[in-house]
Amino acid sequence: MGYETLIAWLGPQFGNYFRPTMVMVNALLVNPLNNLTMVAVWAIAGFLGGVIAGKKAGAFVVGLVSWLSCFVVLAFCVVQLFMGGLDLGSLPPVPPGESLVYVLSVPLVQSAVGSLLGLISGSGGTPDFASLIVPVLVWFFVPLIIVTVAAIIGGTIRKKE
Amino acid sequence: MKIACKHIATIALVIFLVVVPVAAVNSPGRQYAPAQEFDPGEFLQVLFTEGAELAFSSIDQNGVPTVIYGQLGIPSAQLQLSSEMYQGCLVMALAGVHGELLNYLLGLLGNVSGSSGLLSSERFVPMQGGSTFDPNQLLDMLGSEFNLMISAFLNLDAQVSAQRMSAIAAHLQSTFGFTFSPLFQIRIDQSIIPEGMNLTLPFSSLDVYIYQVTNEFGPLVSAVLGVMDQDGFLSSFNQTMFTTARASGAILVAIPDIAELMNLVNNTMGGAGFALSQLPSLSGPIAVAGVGYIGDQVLSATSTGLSIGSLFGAPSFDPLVEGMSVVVVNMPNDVPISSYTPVHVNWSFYDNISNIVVWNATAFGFQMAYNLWFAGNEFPPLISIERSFSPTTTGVGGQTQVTVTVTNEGTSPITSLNLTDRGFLDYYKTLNVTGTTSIAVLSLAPSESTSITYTVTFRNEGTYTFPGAVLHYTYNSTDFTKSSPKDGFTVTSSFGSVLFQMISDGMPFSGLVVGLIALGGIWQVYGLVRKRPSAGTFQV
Repeated sequence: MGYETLIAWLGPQFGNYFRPTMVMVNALLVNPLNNLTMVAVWAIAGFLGGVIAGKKAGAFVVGLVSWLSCFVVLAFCVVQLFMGGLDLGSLPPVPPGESLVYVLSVPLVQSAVGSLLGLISGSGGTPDFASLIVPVLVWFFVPLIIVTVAAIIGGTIRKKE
Repeated sequence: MKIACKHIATIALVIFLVVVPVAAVNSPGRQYAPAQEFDPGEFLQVLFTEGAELAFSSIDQNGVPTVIYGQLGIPSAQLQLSSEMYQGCLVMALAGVHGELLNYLLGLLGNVSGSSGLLSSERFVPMQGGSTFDPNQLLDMLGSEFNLMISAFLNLDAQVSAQRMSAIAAHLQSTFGFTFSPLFQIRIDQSIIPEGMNLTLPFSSLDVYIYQVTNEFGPLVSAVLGVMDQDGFLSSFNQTMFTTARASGAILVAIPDIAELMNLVNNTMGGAGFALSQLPSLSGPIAVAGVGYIGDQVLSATSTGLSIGSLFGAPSFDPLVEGMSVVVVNMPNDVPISSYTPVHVNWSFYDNISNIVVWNATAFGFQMAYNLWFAGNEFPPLISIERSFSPTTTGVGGQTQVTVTVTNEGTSPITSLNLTDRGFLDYYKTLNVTGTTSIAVLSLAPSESTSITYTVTFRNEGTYTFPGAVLHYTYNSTDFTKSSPKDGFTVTSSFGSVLFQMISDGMPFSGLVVGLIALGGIWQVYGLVRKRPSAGTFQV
């Protein structure tokens, strides 16, 4: 629901690449603690890829290529977003029937805001931004790890003759 | 500052809901003009300690009602404010709004504060850029459906406060039907204060929990009403009036120990301020619950009276058995009230300065109606503004025809009409608009209509906000402004239409990507064809 609110709100301004960008961001930045759905999606995809590949090395390549192709699509969408022109000066209001609260319920947004609040608390008022980057990097590489591990498991279970 | 009816409405609303009284302490422009000897502190003390219900309605210059029903000081046994889960809890506040309520309230508060007031845009000037920040823009970012619960716990171990927060949420869910989804929690303690500031917090820790209330608005209002005492006025009200209006809201504030909250305010603000100073000996649990709505025009040029029951859908008024029941109505300053019923020298009260009537419903007992009368022709004729979209949704690249129609449903003509509907163009630069978005009409006779029609073409998917179409007109030598509700128009995204528009928007790079994918496909097909004689080497 939160992503749909975000797209309904900002889609008119950011253009038609906004939805695929959001889909890819949701797929590539995964906090395993609060987004079990995407963990499962990556695990199943990797496992099936590994089963099809049938070899550990091939399974690893399948997992890596799956993740990389998503990353390339995301990069392309982001480039297109910026090339379409972002006019933040006239940010539209949240549409009737929607709420910013719905956006805050997106797991990724919750994770980001939660980390920010956590950093401010106990930081003496000066948050350590390196500590802010680390969780993002973790969320970024979690799908890669999941998909490759699941692919290798798949490749091990069903070895090609 | 001229005190208009909407100002009175705002003051009453804000005081009643106990949202802004602390802020009001520092508002120097506010003046109180009691018409007779009246001790607000004593009155508040009685309301909080004995419990009370208030049916408040205010009519603005256009004949549009603001209606609030609330109960306060109700240490409801069902809330269990004295149980262990509320120990250490400073306050639990739950609020839900629907429609344009927040915009309306902010507008009123801005007016109360004046051009240099607390919420005036003149106060929000960024250091760079030179442009003025409008608080309404911030409110627009919140959206129309804003349902949150916020709780604060003082001086508790983080784990303990988290357990108690969970227990409170579970209790509210099982007893009243609220549903929640946790959003954030933050712990404020001495460690967040930079060392160089030499600032010591007046508490060891403050845990704030923010939950999303996931109920639909209707069930949320029902749940808030369920917290209240079901006797009294509530037993005869039509509760759907609070959920179907153009703008409505509900709020529940529970304070397990008001004395503890007052101590904290004293310690942090250096004094209790006006509102809390009126309640020196108050302690123990209190709760405030209220619902309200802003409706459509109910009074027009032909109106000569108002039945308060019609605003609440109430065929009669039966006061609380325990506690105090009060009915309050506020009319615009320029609409003199000629009479009102019931009347009693000690139980009813009319202040001709603020144009407000107060009935002590507890003293009156069961009443079929509370009414007031005024001279005719005090309000403008019944004017409707309707905006329609044809079709009601479209796809990417599609278009819709927008028609805004103003109809004089009254019996007197209005003059100097100016209808404008171009607010959406301030937000969206990618729209292509053809047709008329504003019109000026000299006069509009009874039963006559005038309209504007324009066509909008949408390039991007999403939901487009159409701010209210604004009508300025003159009646009886007085200028009036009226607007239609804010609308949303959704441009849907079928896979094909979005893909086509994406490729079109992303040219030439999107074309390059499509070409590469196509080449790859052709290469694969070519490879399969070449290897066909030895089919079987392609193994999965």
